[in-house]
Amino acid sequence: MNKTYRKNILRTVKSTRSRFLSIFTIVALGVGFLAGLLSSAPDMQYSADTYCDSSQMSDVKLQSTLGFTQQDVEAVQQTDGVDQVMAAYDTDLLLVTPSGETQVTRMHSMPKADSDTAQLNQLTPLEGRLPEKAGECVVVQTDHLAGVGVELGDVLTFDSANEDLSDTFSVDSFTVVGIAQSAYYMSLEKEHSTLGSGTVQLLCYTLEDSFCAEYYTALYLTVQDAAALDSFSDQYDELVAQTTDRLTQLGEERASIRYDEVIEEANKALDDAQKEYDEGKAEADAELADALAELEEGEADYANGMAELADAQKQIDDGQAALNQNKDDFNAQIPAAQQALADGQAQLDDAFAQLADGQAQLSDGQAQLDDAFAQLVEGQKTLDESKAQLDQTKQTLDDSKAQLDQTHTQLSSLEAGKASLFQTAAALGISLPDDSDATALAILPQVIGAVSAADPTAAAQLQALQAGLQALADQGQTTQTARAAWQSGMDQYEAGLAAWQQGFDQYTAGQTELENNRKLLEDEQKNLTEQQNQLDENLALLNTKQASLNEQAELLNQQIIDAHNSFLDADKKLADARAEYAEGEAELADARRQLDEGWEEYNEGKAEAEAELADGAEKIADARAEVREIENCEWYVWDRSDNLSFASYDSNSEKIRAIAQVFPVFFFLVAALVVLTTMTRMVEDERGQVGTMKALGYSNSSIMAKYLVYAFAASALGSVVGIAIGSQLFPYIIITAYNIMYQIPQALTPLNPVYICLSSFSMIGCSLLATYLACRALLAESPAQLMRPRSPKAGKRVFLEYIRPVWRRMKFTHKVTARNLLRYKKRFFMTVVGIAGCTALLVTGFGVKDSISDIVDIQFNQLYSYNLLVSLKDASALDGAQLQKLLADDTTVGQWTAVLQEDAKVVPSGNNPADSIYIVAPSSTEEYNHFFQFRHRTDNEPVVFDDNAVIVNEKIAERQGWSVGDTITVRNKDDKEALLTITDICENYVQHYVFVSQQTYAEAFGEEAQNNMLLCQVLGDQQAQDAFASEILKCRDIAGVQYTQDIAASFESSLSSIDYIVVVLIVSAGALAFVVLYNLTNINIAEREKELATIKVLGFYENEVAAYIFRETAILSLIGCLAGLLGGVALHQYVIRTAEVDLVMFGRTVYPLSFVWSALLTFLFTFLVCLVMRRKLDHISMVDSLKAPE
Amino acid sequence: MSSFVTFENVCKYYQMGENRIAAADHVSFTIEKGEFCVIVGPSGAGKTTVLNMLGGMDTCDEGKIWLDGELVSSYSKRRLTEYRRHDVGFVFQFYNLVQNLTALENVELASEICRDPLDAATTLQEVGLGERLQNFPAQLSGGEQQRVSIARALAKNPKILLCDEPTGALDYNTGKQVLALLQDTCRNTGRTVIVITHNSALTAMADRVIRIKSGRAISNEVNPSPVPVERIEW
Repeated sequence: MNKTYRKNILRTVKSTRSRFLSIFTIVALGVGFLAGLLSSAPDMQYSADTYCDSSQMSDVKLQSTLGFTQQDVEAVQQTDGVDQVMAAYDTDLLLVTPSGETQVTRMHSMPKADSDTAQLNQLTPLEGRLPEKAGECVVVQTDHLAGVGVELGDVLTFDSANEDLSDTFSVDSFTVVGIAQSAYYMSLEKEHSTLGSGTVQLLCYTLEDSFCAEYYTALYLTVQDAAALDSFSDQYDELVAQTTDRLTQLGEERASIRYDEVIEEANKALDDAQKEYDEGKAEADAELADALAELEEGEADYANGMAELADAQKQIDDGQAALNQNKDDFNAQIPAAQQALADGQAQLDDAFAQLADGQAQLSDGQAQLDDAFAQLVEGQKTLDESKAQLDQTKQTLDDSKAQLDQTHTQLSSLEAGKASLFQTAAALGISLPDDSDATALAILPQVIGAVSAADPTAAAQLQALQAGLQALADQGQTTQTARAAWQSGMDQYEAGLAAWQQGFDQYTAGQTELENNRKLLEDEQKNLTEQQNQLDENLALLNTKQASLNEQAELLNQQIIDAHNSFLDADKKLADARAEYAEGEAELADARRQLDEGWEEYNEGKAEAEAELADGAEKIADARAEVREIENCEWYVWDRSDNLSFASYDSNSEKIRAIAQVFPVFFFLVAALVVLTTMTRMVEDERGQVGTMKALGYSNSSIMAKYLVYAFAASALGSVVGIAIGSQLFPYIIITAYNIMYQIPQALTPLNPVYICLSSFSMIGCSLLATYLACRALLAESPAQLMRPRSPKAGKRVFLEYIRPVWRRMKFTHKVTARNLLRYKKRFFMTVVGIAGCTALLVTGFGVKDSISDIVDIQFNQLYSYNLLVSLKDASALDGAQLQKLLADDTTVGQWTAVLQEDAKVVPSGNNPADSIYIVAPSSTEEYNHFFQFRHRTDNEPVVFDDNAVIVNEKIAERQGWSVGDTITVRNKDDKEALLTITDICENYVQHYVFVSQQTYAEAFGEEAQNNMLLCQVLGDQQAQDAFASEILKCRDIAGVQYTQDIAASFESSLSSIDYIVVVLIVSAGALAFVVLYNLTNINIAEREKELATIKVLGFYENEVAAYIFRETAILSLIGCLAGLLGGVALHQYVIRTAEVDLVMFGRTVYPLSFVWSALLTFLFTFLVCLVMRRKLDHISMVDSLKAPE
Repeated sequence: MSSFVTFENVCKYYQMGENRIAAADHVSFTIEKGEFCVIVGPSGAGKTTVLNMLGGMDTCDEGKIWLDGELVSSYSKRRLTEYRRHDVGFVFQFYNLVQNLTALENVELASEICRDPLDAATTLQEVGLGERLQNFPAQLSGGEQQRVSIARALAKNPKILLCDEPTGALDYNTGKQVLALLQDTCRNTGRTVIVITHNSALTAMADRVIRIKSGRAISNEVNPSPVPVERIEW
């Protein structure tokens, strides 16, 4: 292959990305789904097996009806094929949790971690640790544990309802030190117990040291080389079977030895019991005698008490009398003392009144005195005022005197000057008319002029005179008038002075009078003060007297109070004494009653003791009978398939395997179809290119190589991705889903080369083959032919056209659709098959759910009309009085009936399996019809079950190929074979049954049918039912009880996990449907692009164009869907039959609603694809599409 | 705008990688009603682009296109579909018949969806295929197929018949017959027919010749004396 050619391939991949991707996706889906689901069951088993191996899970468990001795253990150890042996004490008991609930507990023993004995069934601690000393335990983690509510540190105590466990346990309580996982109990299945409600609720492990039993109850052992094998494989089963066969043989030998031992022991125990009984009897007699003596003593005590009581009564009466006397005396003395006191008080009060009077008078006097003082002060004030006035007048007088004196001086000087002037003037010769001032003034200047030169001093004096005279003249006065004025002023002054002197004398007299008055008043005040002092002294005296009187009164009161108190005390004491008396009386009455009761009890006890002793005697007799009847010791050899949780895991993984084989194969086929179509289309597309290559001289093989490489690349890549995801994801989802029920620590999903190769190689092979076929057809043509457009496929008439009335009435576009559908047959086929496949998957998915959800309800609510199964150890249990009493109680039990239900085997004809089957022979066939609904599944018609009927269930009939009228062979527990002729086949889902009457049983097996089972309809709620169950278990010879609802619940939970698988299926089928439809529609559109462009050019609206193409898709989907619904029914039947466990029949019908859902989902996918494709249609370009030739 | 068909500065561009190529570069021309018009030009000149835009299969990027007074270039996608449905008949070089339908049905495919169709059988008779109504395309010769294609276009009773190299896949004589049919249709029914060809010889038969070169209408001539196709040789 040259370089350009390689480039070409790469480019092709790039340019056709969506095609490459669609092959890739579908291959990834198909391969992933196939590889994933195929790996699921092996991965589940691998995970579990790894877990079992890592925890050293035992391969075989031995149990014996009488336990194992050390010799037994050694014998087992010596057996060929046995690797390790771990002897254990496993005991069921009732433990009480701290919250007070009683739990049926299975207590396992485990060796100490450091002991050198075998450590099998190791635990994985989740919380806390493993037990290290006696009395510690770990609880096994189960999905049920959360409901029990046991936590670390809780102390679980023994319930009182346990039988005596002191022989079994050396401890009396367990402390929870850890919570652990155990491979031995991967899930809590309904482990049977003979205690409580009949089902184990709590699984615990404790150290061996917690036990003190004499013998082991179980032996766990591993088989040599078994760990290396897959526990779920046939090789493992074979290997273990070899060892179990040997152990069964050994068991027979050892059992008889053990039996002898036990019988001997039992006899010894019985003798002990007899001795004990005798001792007990003696003890009881002694106890009774003691009781009698005690009672008599009691009587004597009672009499004593009565006497004491009478004494007390007398004392009380005496006391009362004395008290009354005292009270009377006291009451008489008190009034006199009170009277004396009152008198004293009256006198005192008088004295006080007098004193108050005196005080009042005194106060009046004082008030008057105060008034007088006030007046005195007032007088003084008036005097002071007149004095001030006088002083002022004097001052004024003095002032005017001074002024007068000054005026006198000035006047005198002027007159002297004038005189001197006139003298001078005269000297000078100046004529003087007169001596008036005016003359003086008139001559002055003349004089001055005359003297000034000679005598300046005289001149100055004259000038001064001139000024003075002038000034006087200015005032209009003269020296004469001035002198007259001064004289009159002087006279006024003299008169004023005289008046002042008179006033002053008056003042002096007033002052003296005032002083006298003051002295008088002060004397009076002194007098008053003395009187007041006197009064105060009197008051003090009176107060003293009052105080003494008060003291006396108080004293009296105190005496009265004291007396009262002492009376109260006495009363109280008396009352106490009476109360005490009453008590004493009551006590005595009590004592009487107790005595009476004691007598009664004594009598009862005596009767009871006698009854018990009689009972004990009977029990010993019974026990003797039992010892005689001790069954032969028998060993039970259990392998892992008898481990309930292991077996249920096994069957669940097988269910997955069965489903995984059908679904993905179908899926795978559809995927292969899609790849084929896509590759064919691709080769066709490149027709021209192939022609060109051929013309260029490339060989056929190198041309083909391109497409092979392309297909290989897409499918190989798809496979790798599909495997990478699918083979991890699907097992993981499924294991995780199952881990809701099973405690498996790790979901291991190793790659399974076989499934990987199978799925990927076949898918790659398919696509290569498809490509090869497509290429071969094309390469056969010549290059010239290839380069020409392929001659269009001629239109053809379809059969519908020959039905003229129909054809003529069809719309034109519908005709086109009809022709197109039939024209492209390959695509028609592909699409129909693809869609049918998806619808079938959906129907199957929904149908499986329908089938499973059906059976629990039908089986337990419709077919069974009882809710409690009681298994009897022996038919004689029915005669037990206690049981009869319980069953007779209408309020708790409705109907009940006794049946024989026996494990049996079918003796098969031909290659059919030797199935286990229950023979059910009811004591009354008529009555049994009320407990089991006999009917046909298909039409619900009743099936007659009478004394002559032999009815088998549908599933066993199907497995064995039986039909009505066939004679079958059944081997019962006692290995007796019987021939029975089937009269009818009835509906039943769980277990296999053959129903016969007891007559038929007796005739067929030649032995009487012994009832071993009670079917009851217990009424009331859960609590009432639990109570009833534990009551029933206490009755004689009851082996166990089981409520059908418990079985139903356990069933339901084991089936519910299938739901997850259904979801996985539905989702995957949906994805497939989408991819298929998308691919095919895509191809359809691509192939007819030109045709679509043409009708677009012709003016078809977008909707019409879409309808033109999608009508075909819709019709194809419809046809595919219808085919799918039919195919789905078949596929569902197949899956259901494959997935069924041997003992269970699933519902065979698919509900109508499931069909509706499947169809709806298919159409939904069609619609979605159309929606996506619609866009593609819109993008078809008319111009481009019509360019090229066809 | 009295002309039946008017192109006014119509442009159409195609993006080719980084280059923008003008398939139609300001094309302007007019065609009158009832004319037999030949649009001629070398291959790649843009003839088909022009026809596609006129036929409503493609839209123009610039300019205006009128047909019978309607502005086709402004139509919405939906309106364009209606336009193709009722007003335009197409004839392609490679016929584009639906292989799965008979001749009659191929015609009916078109006639059934339009408003005022001609009778399909009659139309086929008119194109000379009265005997072959029930034949599938694969059973017909190329000329017969092209006649079915013409009948399909005519049966819609369109305003205008658009033919894209109708003789391109036919031999000389058959081509001539087909062209004669188209010319007769134009003459007899008065329908406007536009034929695209690279064959210049055909211009002689046209009423109007529009020459297109490199995306431009370089001439638009009326041929005053068209000759019948039988007289043309090439």
